[in-house]
Order: sequence, then structure tokens, then C-alpha cells
Amino acid sequence: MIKRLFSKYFELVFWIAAIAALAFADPAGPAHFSLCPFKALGFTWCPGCGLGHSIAWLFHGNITNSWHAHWLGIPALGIIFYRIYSLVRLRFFDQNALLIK
Amino acid sequence: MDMYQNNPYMALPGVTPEELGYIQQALAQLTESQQKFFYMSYTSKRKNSQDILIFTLIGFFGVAGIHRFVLGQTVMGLLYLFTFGFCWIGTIVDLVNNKSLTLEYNQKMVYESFQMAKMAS
Repeated sequence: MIKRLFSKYFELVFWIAAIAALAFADPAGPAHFSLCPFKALGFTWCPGCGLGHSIAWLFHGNITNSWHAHWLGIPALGIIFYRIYSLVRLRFFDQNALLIK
Repeated sequence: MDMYQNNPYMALPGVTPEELGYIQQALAQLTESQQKFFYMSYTSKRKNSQDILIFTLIGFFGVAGIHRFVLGQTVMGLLYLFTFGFCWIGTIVDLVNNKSLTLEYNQKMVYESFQMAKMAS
């Protein structure tokens, strides 16, 4: 049952957890541990850098800082919310009603 | 061999029980000629989850998000493209759930083919 739950709701749980983690994160704090392979190789710039900070600033209501961290933060948040919405609709409402006229 | 002749959908590459379930649900409401149309339409539209897995893997070596474009999620694909798949994390996530992503797409294609078959004859 856990396996089924995991395979069915994995993406949904992941996006919600990621958004929640960013909402509670402190964007002004020091950089946390990063998985980024570019950072590990010593590069200081990557096209994704700052996106997490950007979204965290948005949740703190600071749009200027959000824009400076990464200009994609605002659209990214919108897109992720839309994805969560469509996953919820698909998982909880559409499923069996799909083919019934 | 006999098994496949009874249900041609079982011969589709990478077909899953869930996918067969959706197909069965659609077929039950179609006449025989509509079922033929459905087969033609659906087999050309559906995607194999293994192909999606390969597109996802490209995200580690170059362009991320191809799998999202292929699955019709253009905006999500652009976001992956511009951010290297959320700094690889998004790509890893999609490696894990490539099957449900593909099923989601195929389910939509079952629905589309079903509607087309209904209209066609």
C-alpha cells in the first residue's frame, strides 16, 4: 500500500514538500548544503542558481529581492502551483469519471 | 502468441496494467468499427515510458526538460530548460516518476482517441 501511495502521489508530494520547505526557509540566511554538481566543481554561476532564494523571498512578500535572486522565481512559482493543481485534479477527481459521458 | 491475438494492446511496448485498464474502459463503450479507429489513433499517439526515461536522462548531460515537452507540458519544459531541471533535482524526481508521467499522458490520449472514434463513425 505504501508502494502504491508512493508511486501514485510521488510528484504531488514532492512539489508540495518543496514549496512548503521554501516557504519556511529563511532567504536571508547563509547558503545551505547544496546538491548542485556545478557548485561542487567550483563553478560560481549556473542558470538555476538563486531560484530557491527567489521563491523563498516571494513567500516573505519581498518582490524586489525575489527578482534580484532570480527573475524566473515568480513564473516558476506560478507554474509549480499550476502543476500541483492539475495533479490534484487528476488524482482525486478525473480518474474514473474520465470516460463517463 | 495466442495471448497477443486476443488483446492486441498487450503487444504495445511498455504497456502497463493501469494503461490496459483505461483502454478497456474506453473500448467497452465503442462499436467494432469505432474500436478499429480507436486502435489506429491510440497506438500512434501513445508514448512508451522507456523513451521518456531516455529523454529525462538527457537532462544530466545537456538540455533538461525534453521529456516535459514531449509529454505536452510546454511551460514546465521551459522552466526545466532555463534552470537545468531545477539544478538536477527536478530531473532526478522525473527519473523516479517517469512511469506515472507517461501514464498521465497516455490516459489523456485514451480520452482523445475515444472522443475521435466516437465522432468518426
